[in-house]
This record gives sequence, C-alpha cells and structure tokens, in this order.
Amino acid sequence: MRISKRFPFIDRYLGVVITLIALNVIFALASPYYWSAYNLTNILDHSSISLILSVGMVFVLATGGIDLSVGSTLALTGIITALAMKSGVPTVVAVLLGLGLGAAIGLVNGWVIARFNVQPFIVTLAMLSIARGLTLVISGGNPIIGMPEGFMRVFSGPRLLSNGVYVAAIVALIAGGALVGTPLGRALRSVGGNAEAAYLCGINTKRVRMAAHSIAGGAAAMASMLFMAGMDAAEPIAGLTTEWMEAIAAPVIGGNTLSGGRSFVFGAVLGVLILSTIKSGLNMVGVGQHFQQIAIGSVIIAAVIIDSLRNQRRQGGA
Amino acid sequence: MPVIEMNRLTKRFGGILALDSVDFSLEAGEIVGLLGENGAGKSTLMRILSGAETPDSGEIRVNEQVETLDNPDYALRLGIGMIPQELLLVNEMTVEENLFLGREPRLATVLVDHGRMRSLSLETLIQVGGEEIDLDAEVGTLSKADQQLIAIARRIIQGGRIFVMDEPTSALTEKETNHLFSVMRRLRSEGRTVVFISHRLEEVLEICDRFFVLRDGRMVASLENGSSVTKADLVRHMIGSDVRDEYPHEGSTQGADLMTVTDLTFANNQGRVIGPITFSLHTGEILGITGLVGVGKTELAQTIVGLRHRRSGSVQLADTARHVRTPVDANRSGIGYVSEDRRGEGLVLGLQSLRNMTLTILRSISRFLTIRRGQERELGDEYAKRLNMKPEYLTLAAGKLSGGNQQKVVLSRRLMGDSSILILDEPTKGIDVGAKSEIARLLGDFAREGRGVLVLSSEPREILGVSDRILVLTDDGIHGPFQRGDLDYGRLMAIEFGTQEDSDDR
Repeated sequence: MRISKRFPFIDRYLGVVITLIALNVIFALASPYYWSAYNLTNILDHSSISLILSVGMVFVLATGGIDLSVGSTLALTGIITALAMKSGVPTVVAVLLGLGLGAAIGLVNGWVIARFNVQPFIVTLAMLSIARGLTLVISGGNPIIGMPEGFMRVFSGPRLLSNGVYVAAIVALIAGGALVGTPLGRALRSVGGNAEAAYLCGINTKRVRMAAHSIAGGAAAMASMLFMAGMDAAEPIAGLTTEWMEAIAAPVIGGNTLSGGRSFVFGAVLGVLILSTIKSGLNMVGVGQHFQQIAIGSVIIAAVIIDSLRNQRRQGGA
Repeated sequence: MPVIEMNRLTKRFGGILALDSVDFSLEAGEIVGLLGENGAGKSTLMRILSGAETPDSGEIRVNEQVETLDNPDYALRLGIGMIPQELLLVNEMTVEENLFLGREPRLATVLVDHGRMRSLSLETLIQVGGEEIDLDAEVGTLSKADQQLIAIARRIIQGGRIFVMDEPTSALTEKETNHLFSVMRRLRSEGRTVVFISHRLEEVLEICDRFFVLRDGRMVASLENGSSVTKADLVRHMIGSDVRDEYPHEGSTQGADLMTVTDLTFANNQGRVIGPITFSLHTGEILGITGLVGVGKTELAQTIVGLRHRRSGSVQLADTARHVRTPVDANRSGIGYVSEDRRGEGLVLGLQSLRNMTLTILRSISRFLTIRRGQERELGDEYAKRLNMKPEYLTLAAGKLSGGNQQKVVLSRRLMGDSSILILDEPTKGIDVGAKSEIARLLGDFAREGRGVLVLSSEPREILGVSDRILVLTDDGIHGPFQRGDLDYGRLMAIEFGTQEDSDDR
C-alpha cells in the first residue's frame, strides 16, 4: 500500500490496466484472428467516436454532473453540418458551425442547471428528447448521404489507422492536459469535490458548470464529424443508445467517480479501450451483439461496485 | 494603530440578539484569543469579520478605512481569512492544487504556471513548517494536522494578513498543537494577526497576547495576558453571575436500569478515539450528557443507536438482554432517536406535519392497506394540544414550520411510538425560549410514564434545568454522574473547562 500512496497514478489505474491486458490475452488465446494488425486497428477505429464523447463527459463528471444528451447532440450537429455542406457552405465553415452548435446545446444545458439549480440528470434527459426531435423534424427522418471529399479526407482518411484515431488522440491529449494544467480544469474538479470550498476560494461555480456542459456538447459535435466520415452520411438516428451510454460508462470503468472531483481523461481512455476490446473480442469468438449488451452492462455494474468499495476503503482509512 | 476596528456592532437573528453593541479591535502582529461559552456570539462576530454575515448596525474599519464586508471574496482581498473547523479543502485534489485553488498563477493566460506554483508552494509550506508534506498527495489522504497547515498556507498565498482560526486544535495531538503554535508565533513575527477561538483555556493562556470575552452577545472583558490572569478568571468572565432558570422541572423518581452502556469507544468526526464510556439510564429519569462543542456528544448518541461504528464496548437493554448494534436493532428495542439535524435526518420536509408525526406508527393506525384518516387526525390533535401547537400547523408541510414547531413534530412522532427510551441530541437548538420550556415539560411527562430519556446538549443551562442526573463529557473522559442539585452552573463550567479537579463521583 505504501507504493500506491506514493504514486496515486498507479493506485488509480493499475486494476484497469491489468484488466485490459487480461482481456487481450484471453481473446488472443480464444481467437487466432484477434491479435492481428487489422483487428487491433479496427478496435482503435471503433474507439475514436466513443473516446471523444467520453472525454467530453469527463469534464461534466468532474463537476459531479452528468450529460445524457450527447447522443442526440451528436445526431443534430451531424444533420446540421451535412445540410450546410450540401447547401454550398464551405466545409470548414460548416464544421465550425457544427462544433459551435454542439457547444451551444451544452451551454443551454449548463445554464439551466446552474441558473435554476436543477439536477443535470433531468435537464439533459429533456435535452436528449429535444435535440432528437429537432433532428428528426429537420431531416424528415432521412439520412443525408455523401459527404464532400475534403471532409472525408480530414476525418476519415486512408484505411488501416484512419485519421479519426488521430483526431481522437489529439482531443484526448488536449483535454487531459487542460483538466490538470489549466485553472479551468482545476476549477472543474474543485466544484465536484467540494463546491463550497471552491466558492469560498473565489471560483464562479455556475460559470464552471456551464463551461463543463459546453465542452461536453462540443465534444459530441466533434464525435459527430467522425461518425459522418465513417458512414459517409449524416444519420438522424445516430447515437441513439449505445454511444451515449458508453460515453458515461467508459470514464466510470476507468476509475472516474460519478460524484465528481476525481476525474481524469486517462481513465476514460482506458475505459473506452476496455469496452471496445470486449465488443471486438466477443465478436471474434462468435458472441452476438445482443449478448454483448448484456456483457457490457455487467462490466459497468462491476466498475461501479469497485468504485464504491474503493470509496469506502478511502473513508475508512482516513 | 489597529488593523481592524469594529465599533458598536449589533446583529439579530429573528428575535434573538446575537451581538449587542460589540466593540472589537485587532493590531498587526498579535495573537488574540476570543472566548465565550457556546452561543455567546463568537462565531457571529467572526462571520461578520470574514464577510459571511453583515451586521444590522455598527461600523467596521480596516486599516482606518470604513469598509462594508458583504462577501467572503472581498474580505479575502482585504487580507481577512477565516480558517473554519471544517477546513474547506477539496479532498480529491492534490496539496498544490488546493493551495492555489481559484488563484493559480498563469502562463499565457490559459495555462497554470507550474514552475512558479511549485516554488511558491514549497516556500509557503516551509513558512508553516510543513516542508515534509508531499505536494502531489491527495489532500484527503493526509492527517488532520497537515490539512490544517495546508489551509493556513492557502490563506498566506491568498495574501492573508488576518487569520481567524476556529477551534484549530480540537483534532490535534499535543505535539501537533505545539507545532501549530510555533506557526502562529511565526505569523505574528511577520506582522500578521491571528484570532484564536478555543475552549481550551490552557492553550489560550499559553499562546495569546490579549483576550476578548463574549457573553450573551456582549463584550464583557478585554484583557492583556500576563501572569496574573488565570483560567478561573477567564471562566468567571465567561459565565458572569446571573443564572436564570428557564426550565421548570419536577423531579421524577427513578427506577431500575433501562439501558446500560459499557466501555463504549468510538471515533469522532476528526478520527480521534473517544471513550471508554460507561453509564446506565434508569426508568423514569432524564439523564443529561453535556460537554463543550466538539467533545463527541453527537458521535456518542450515534454510536449508541448503531449509526456509527463501535470500536469496543456494548449497549445493552435491560428488559430484553439484547445488544444494540444497528439502527434497526435500536428501533425494534424501543429506542427513539432524535438527531441534532432535524431538518436533514428527522423530517420529510415536503410532507404534512401530521403525516410526519405518524410515519413510524402507520401500521397501528391502518386497517388492511388503508390508513384510518380519522384516527390519524385525532392523534395529531391530541399531541398538538399536549405540545401547545396550533392545530392548523398539522396540515402544513413540515418544512414551513419554525424550528420549535418542527422539533415538536419530531418529538410527537417519538412519543406516539412505543419507545421506552428517548435519545435526544441538542433538542432545543435554535428554538425560542417558550418552546424550550414546553419541550422540557414534555420530556418530564415522558419520563414520568416510566420511560427513560437521554438528553445530549451543549447548553449548560438546559442540561442543569431538565436533567435528573448529569454526566459531563470532556477530552479526559466522562465525569459523574451528578445528582440534580449537586451541580451548579459554576461547577459544571469548571469541570468542562478543566479548572477544577474532578470530584466526588457517585
């Protein structure tokens, strides 16, 4: 225990890393095709969308909040960006428009939560419905197919390791640095850890909550770009269930607490990799998608139980 | 030239006069003790100084300038920093992150300047003698003493000139206390001012240059420390001479053992082990347990009813020979517990008062699956009458009632149930005098029915007024029991503050 006290980093992630390695060993033994360059890059490819959503979620979780609406935000920003591009708006402008819209949706969430002191759960649940409804109204329920070449070049790129993976990695790096190395990142975590202390240290807790939700919304829009590039289409039913559920589950699996304060991007990265590994591995050994859902749900429950046990140990030992 | 001058400050909370034309001043480079018994107005005065509360009238000068201190942030900018008992650190964040919370030195406006932060942290931690603290450790993993040093260091970094420390030593060992004192002396030598609020008079005498003593919201003494000042002097100033009796009480006859607590030990909120504590509660009596704030009374009550982990010892009920280990045991064995925090733990605030009263007896007033409303209402009316509460209040949501009436609702609930033992933590906290004596009378009724009442309170007059027997909890352990009449106010204070040798236990 002495070592883990000296290096909180090791204490925090050791279990998750071991789990990830163990899963890879098990699946590699179970299927000869699992440990192939093709499959491993495929796992990373599939992780990129979840990763960006999760990274945004980490900011909200840090404040002790939650955002259930990121899947709907993903769909709405995708449709709007695609429509803009189809109607002749330059690709760069259309993408910026989409990202701005995502941030704005998050800002609305954050404003209602902070200004009226409402539970993030219910506000973002409502936004989930509003944004999805808007998406379906605007698109008429039909996908918008065929993205401009420039767009595809940036977000999809050559096969094997697609550009999406690099985009996700850059987003994660910047976000991880921001959470630890900027005043905003520290303010976010202090609001989740002890809001009163933060307030008395002169931190504007309302503005901080709004910033967190805005970042989550922007991240959802960024994920949407990768999603569109992967499908070469904007889908009104994108991000309906699994995406946003995994966005919340991954950070928790990676050791971030739902109660806030202890939130780090690296945990979300590990969580996303674990989820992708499980899905890909189960595919390889022939377990169907429906069973995969059961498996993933079980992993989430296991993660929160471990988190709760850790908290008890921490409190008992203090 | 005083750095702080407060003239004729007055503050009321509702009908209660918390501060009555108080004068107070601080000089640069001194350590000042602020003394007074519980509720004398110390916290109110310091909350006003730190901008958390504004006075109704009076004038505050900071460095000779008249200032309106209406928020903590502004007070902080003037260099006034409160270090409350709960230190307001973010446990999940590292030491360094906590030190600079909200005031990080910046690089290129958006980044944290790591280099400067590191060197400033080290420098400041050395200043408070905390050079061994790991800057990258999570604050929650550190000892209370280290956390205290971090809270002080943070105030230094925030530019603090005046440090108000509220009971800073209550969770510290003797060695840690001595270290804290050397830090306080160092702050003084740098020309800063420390206000030291403490119940521990030896410590106050050791460290302070001057004292202010508050009693009932008035500043009753301001004296220089010197060899002629003794603990007894301080206590005399704190308690004054006028002892009122707000609690009419007819003594009740006491009978057999009802509940026996044997060698109970437990940890208080700061992690200090308290006990062993041994006593028994008899049928037909009100047993009062008193002691200074923070001495562990609330924790004792929680341990007895199984809400807090018991390190050793036992709680045994006479009639069933049963041990109480969990709150469910306590309930089944007929122990009714009313916590200090009646809003948080006792009442469903949105629910009607009447429904709150009958929550625990729903089974006995129900037929099949429905509640007999008529019977419920009759019961409510009966208790409202006994407690001198307006019947209209029964249909109001509990959250809308005053503190006194809320307490009546909680008590009614316990009385309606068939509890044989009632454990009350600070039953009259924040309640006006009229409601206090009604509640005292009700407890007397309850005891006379042959049940037992355990009252835990920090208010000495309440304990002296309502109890048949009294136990006094101090840092040294439990004193007594004393029979009603054997203990007067002065002697109780002397025991609480340790100015008198422990005497004739019986």
